[in-house]
Amino acid sequence: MATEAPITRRQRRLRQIGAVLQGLALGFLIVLAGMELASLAGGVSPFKYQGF
Amino acid sequence: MADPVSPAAKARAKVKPAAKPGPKPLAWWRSDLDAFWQGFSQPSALAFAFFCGSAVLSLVVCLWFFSETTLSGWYGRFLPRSGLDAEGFATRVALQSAQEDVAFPRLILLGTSTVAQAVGSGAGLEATIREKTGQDWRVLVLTTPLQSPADQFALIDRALENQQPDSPRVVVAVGFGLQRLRWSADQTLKYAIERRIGLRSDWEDAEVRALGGKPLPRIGFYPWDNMQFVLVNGSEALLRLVLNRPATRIVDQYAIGRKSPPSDVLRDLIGQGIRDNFPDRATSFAQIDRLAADLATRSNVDLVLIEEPLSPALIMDQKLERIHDQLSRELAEYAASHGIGYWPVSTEAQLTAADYFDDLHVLVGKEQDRLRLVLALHLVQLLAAQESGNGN
Repeated sequence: MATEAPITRRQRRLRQIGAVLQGLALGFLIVLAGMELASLAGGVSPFKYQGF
Repeated sequence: MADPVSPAAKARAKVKPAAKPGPKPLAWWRSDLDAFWQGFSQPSALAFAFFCGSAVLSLVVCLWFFSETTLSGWYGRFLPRSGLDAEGFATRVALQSAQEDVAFPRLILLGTSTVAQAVGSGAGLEATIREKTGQDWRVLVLTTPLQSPADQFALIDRALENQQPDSPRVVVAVGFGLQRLRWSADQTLKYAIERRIGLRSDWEDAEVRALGGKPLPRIGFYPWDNMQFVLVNGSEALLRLVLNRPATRIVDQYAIGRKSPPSDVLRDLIGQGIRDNFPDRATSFAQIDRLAADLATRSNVDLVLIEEPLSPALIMDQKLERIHDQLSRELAEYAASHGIGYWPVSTEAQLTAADYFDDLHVLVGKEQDRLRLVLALHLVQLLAAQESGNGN
């Protein structure tokens, strides 16, 4: 069975930073995507997707 | 007993077999990047916790952003989705106008893309007015594509909220022409429901009632009262806010690109709409009556109607000459009898079909300059007449 090489403290910190950024980005994007989908599904404005 | 192993054999035994080559250790930056990528790309409890926190925070920021206080302030510049988002800019300008201390006289333009294209940027008109009047005026361009009369009530009501008896003069110029006739009561009510502009107003609600409609309910909470506007503008606004990239308005955006031949279908549609609604033009005049009555409740405000430029080619193609002449005559008579200014800027600028990009929009450049000049000269006349006490 393959064992993972031990990671340094610095690499652990970088992995945490990556996880934090992933969460922040996805949390922000899900709100944007929600609004886009709602406006698309509701057809709220005939102008939104006309060349803007 | 002596060791039977020879010295040569001993020496051979000491030589270790060559070690198998292992994987080369990664460069320090590669292993750092690898660690970061693992954290960024793989699900984890930490990522989920920050995902939840970020989503909640984004919603809170969204609620904070979509409030009249925020939109009228510095952060409001992130509201428009792009330089072409006239509804976003008009909403922002109206809210801003209602909040700021007024130090200059203002010319507020209302109308469709036709008016926007004719006037271009407010700065250009401000310069022309300064040249002709020697006064500093602020031009607020509150035009939006297919602007309905109901939108105009909302925009001007909110933009003039801070108008006091000692405030500098305001001239409200409303585009009026053949196209206005297409705004029947039904059409106006249909568009009023769409909430393309992020403003609610008592004047607009009263207008909807006057047309036989029922205004959408209001609870005083901006995102709820303007839900459709928030959904349309929300994602782009938040992204612009986070990236610190406000959009810059392009007012005269309707004559960009190659001039294309007019569409027969569109011409027929416009012509038919005008012909169908011409007999019911009293509806349009009644709307101006109500707008004038509302504006009369605010101090130092003058209402003028400006002729919307329409290509002579469209008028000829659709055989609208008689309707056009009759409407112009009636408008002039109506304005004179109601103490409202009527500025036939398009006729006076003597625009020909060659001055238009399409049937509804003039070309950018000297064509706009001519219209701006005529507009500024009318303003000079209005000011002179008022100074001499002759009114409009």
